Parts: sequence; C-alpha cells; structure tokens
Amino acid sequence: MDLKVFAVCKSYGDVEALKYVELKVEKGEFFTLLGPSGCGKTTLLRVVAGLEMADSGMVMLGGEAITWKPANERPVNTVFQSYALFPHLTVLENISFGLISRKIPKAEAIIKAKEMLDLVQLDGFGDRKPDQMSGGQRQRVALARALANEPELLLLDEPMSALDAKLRVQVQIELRQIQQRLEKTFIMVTHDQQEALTVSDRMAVMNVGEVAQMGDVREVYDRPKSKFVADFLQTQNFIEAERVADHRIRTTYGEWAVTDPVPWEKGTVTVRPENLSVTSDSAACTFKGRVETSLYRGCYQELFLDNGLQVETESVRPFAKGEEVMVNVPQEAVVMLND
Amino acid sequence: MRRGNSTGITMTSVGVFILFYIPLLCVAMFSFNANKFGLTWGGFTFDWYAKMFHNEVIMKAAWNTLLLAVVSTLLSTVLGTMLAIGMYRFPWKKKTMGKLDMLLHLPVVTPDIIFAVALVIAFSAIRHFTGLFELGMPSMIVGHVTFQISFVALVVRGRLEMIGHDVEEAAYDLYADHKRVLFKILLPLLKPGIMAGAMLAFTLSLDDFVISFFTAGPKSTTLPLFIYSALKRGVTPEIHALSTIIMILTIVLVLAMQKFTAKNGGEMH
Repeated sequence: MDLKVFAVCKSYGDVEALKYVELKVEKGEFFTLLGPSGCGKTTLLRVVAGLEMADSGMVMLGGEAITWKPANERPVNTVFQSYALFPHLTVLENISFGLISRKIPKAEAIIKAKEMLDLVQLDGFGDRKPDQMSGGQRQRVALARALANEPELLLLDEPMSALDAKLRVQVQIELRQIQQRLEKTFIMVTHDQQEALTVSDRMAVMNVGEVAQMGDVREVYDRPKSKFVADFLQTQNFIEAERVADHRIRTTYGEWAVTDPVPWEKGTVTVRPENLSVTSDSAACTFKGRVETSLYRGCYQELFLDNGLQVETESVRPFAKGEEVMVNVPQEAVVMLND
Repeated sequence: MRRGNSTGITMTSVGVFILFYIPLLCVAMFSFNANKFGLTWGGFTFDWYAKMFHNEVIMKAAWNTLLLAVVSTLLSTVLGTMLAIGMYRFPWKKKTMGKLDMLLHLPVVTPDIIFAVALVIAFSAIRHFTGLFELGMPSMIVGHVTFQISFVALVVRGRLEMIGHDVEEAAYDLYADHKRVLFKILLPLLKPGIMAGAMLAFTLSLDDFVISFFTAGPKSTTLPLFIYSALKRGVTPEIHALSTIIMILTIVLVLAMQKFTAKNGGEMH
C-alpha cells in the first residue's frame, strides 16, 4: 500500500525531532530515508510503525488514516536496528510470533514460518535460539519475522549497521531481490549513502527534522538542490559562482558553460570529483591546477589540487607533486545549488 | 617484590575469611558437642538435633518463620515486580523518576529499628480507627512485605534495564496485545530477575529480627525471636543446632540464587 505522511510534527521536550514532514511512498517501492544521526529519520520511521505517536499531522496507509492507531493494529512490520529478537524463544517461535498474535492456527503459522526460513536461506535453523546464531543470521531471522506477516509496509531501521562491510553488500543485494520478488513497499532508514543508492528506488534526504530533498535516487544523487544534500552525498567541490548568461557562469577558475539554466545572480555550484577529468587536450581544458596530493585508490586516483578542487582520474600513471594538470569540466556535471 | 606482595594479599584474605567463619564454625562445632555446659569437648553427638526436632516450641517457631517468609515473599515478589514494571515502563518525567527512585531506595537504607517503630505506630493508628491489625502474623507479614518490596523492585528493575525496550516494541509491532506482551515476552525474560528478587526477599524475611520483634504478637514467635528469648536463659546446644540448620539453609539459598542468576544472566547478550 502507499504511504502518505502529512505535516507530521514530533517533539521531545524542547527538541523538535520532526518539523512538518511530508512524505509520499508509492506502492511496491523501495524507499529510503537517508540522513545523518539525529536528523529525525528513525523518529519518522517509528511514527509510521506506531511506536511513537505524532504530535500533529497525519499518517495515511492505503488511503486509511492510521495516525492514532497503536503499533499492534497497523499492517506494518519493522526490522529493528538491534533486531530485537526474543532471546527466550526459538527461531521458529520468533518468526511465528506475529502470526500467532493474530490468532492464526499454530500448525499453519509453523508452516508459514518454515517458508520464511527458506526465503532467507536459513532452513534447518528453526530450533536454535537467537544467541546461537551469528549477526548475519540474526539479521535474516529479524527480516523473516517481519515478512512472515505479509505486511503492507515493511520498515527497516538501519538493518545492516551491525554487519561487517562484506556481508553488508551481500545483504543489500538480497534485500533488493526479496523486495522485488514480493513486490511489497519497503521503507529503510540509513545513514549510509551507498546503501541507500544500492537498494532503493527513491529516497528522501533528511536534515534536522525536515525532508531536505526527495526523489528518484539518481536524480537526488546527480542533482542535489542544497548545500546540505550535496555535502551529505559527498560532491566535494563547492564553487562560488556568478551568472554571466543563461547557461554561463563566472568562477575563480574561469568562465564555464553549463547545461542547467542559472537560477540566481550569485550562488554556489557543485561538481563531483568523478565527473571531472584530467585531459591533455588544451581545447578541452576548463581550468589548470597543480597537484598538491595524489591518493592511489586502485582503479582510480584522487588528486587534490592547489586551487582547492578535487579530481578523480584514471590510474594510468602517477602524478608528481607540483605537476600542472589540465582539467575538463563537462557542462552537464555542474549542479546549481539553491542556497 | 610482586611475589611477596601477592603472598601478603593472599594471607590477608585468608585471614579475613577465617575471621568471618570462625564464629560460625564454632557454633556448628558446639552443636555436635555432647558436653552441655562449658567449652570442653565431650564427644560427638546428634542428640541436640534430635532434641531440637522434638521441641514443640522450636517447631512452632520454625513453622511461623517459614509461613511468614513464604507468604511475605509471594506478596512482595508480585508487588515488587509490578512496581518495577510500572516505574520503568511508564513515561515518567525525568524529575519525577528521580524522586521515585529515591523513594524506592529509601526503605533499603532506612535503619531497621526506625522502620520497625514506624510500622508499630502505623499499625496502632490503624488499629485505633478500624480495630484491625492486632499484632500477630498478619501484621508481621505486612511489615516484612513493606521492606521486601524495595529489594525485589530494585533487582527486577535491573533486569528490566538489561532487557531494554526493543523486544517489547518488537512484540507490539508483531500484533501482540498487552496481555501477550506481558506473559509471552516480559515475564519470561524477567524470570531470572524475579527469582533472584524473591530469593533475596525470602532470605531477608528468614533472618529478620528487628521488624519481627516489633510487630509480632504473642503467638507468632519466629526462630530469630525464639533464639533471642532463649538466650536470656543461657545458650543451650539446642540453639547451636538450630542456628547451624538455619545457616546451612541460608547458604543453600544463596548458592541457588547465584546459580540461577549466573545461568540466566548471560542469555541476553
């Protein structure tokens, strides 16, 4: 079902965790709430789950207002950051817990729970207790426990934060595959932009209780609208600029042609290091700079120039300190920021 | 240097333990001494134990002690657990929580004698207006429960803090109602804490003297009260035997409590 959040506010004492948050998540979509810690993303997730009640505003699921419904009456399930498995119950009992809460006959619940174990590739682990399993396995149990109820909406609160880097990538792929197979609506909270980009269709970047930007992951990544979003998505190069013409700006690095229309007289543009390239063709040279530091990263290398900009380039040859390089800035790579 | 130091520490701790246990060992030894008076060893005997078990006054006192301990423990365990859950789970303001915390700790640190006098005054006030609470077993049970509750609640609350809110939230998220969360999640997870609290309450009741002394009626003598009154007529080996048995019982309880908390304590992590 689709989820709509209208003007939701939530405060803890003097701290405003959510300020008039608006959100729209389509049916069958993998949506991610991305933001630094303390931005209110987890609070928003808990408001949707019913674990916190909004101070004001409205939460609608599939056209029905659920703002004041308690957690146990919402067709929504959560994968908790700590997994929150019941330590005194077996894996199978954990997974069937929700089904039995809803008075589904035990035999049926067990069959369904076993199906779920299969789905997360843990068949044969049903009789174990959570503390006899590894972190990755527990994470799968938490997922299976939530999915067993066939929720209209699955919420995932930093589901991979406790996993090591290698396992995290694997789980990301699996999670994406499961979501596409089940065609359910998933909403995930994370502070890891890679994770957000990897698994989601759309995302919202949050900053101190507000949604800073929402949209398709590619769109948000390629066209951040504000300094905060650009910085959080690590565009690295921020450049003060002045408008010369509709598609032309003046910076301290010279005059640049840009694809996007220039919306202001004076403002900031940003451009990703990986979109810049070192060129030997003086016709393609947008500006010149001297290499201050170069970092070898395997398939690419990072150059820190004396003019303060960062460039990522291929690892074909090492660059010496002080070497002058010509840098090409493609027109379409320059992003206008609105603040 | 280090070696000498650690020998010193070992010697000291052995010394301390000897100081701790010599009096208790003496009592245990005298309970087997055939010589009724004096400190001379007159041979090994179980006579005092046999006599003790045939002494109706002692048996009655033992029964009273057990009844008092069991009933007060049951009541205080239920009440203390409820108190702990209420205190920890209700969204109190920080300030209120601090005050409640102090109120909970107060009975633990209040001197027994003050607590006992307060109870006597409270009972007589109630008696004055309602005619209830003639001193005796019921008043003793109430007295014991009032000081046991704090201990139970503190132990249970420690366990609650260890469990955290997550699992409960997960249970609500999985469509469980309050009843199901309480009986299927919270109480099973709290069990080690509740058991530890109950055993603590039980041992506290078993050897309580001051509060029993003030709230007892003529027919509700407990073992500690009996021993105290018997001492006035001189220490008999029967009392040694009785003390030894109480001592062993306490040790068994403490061991059981330790084993229980050790077995279930690590489960959460």
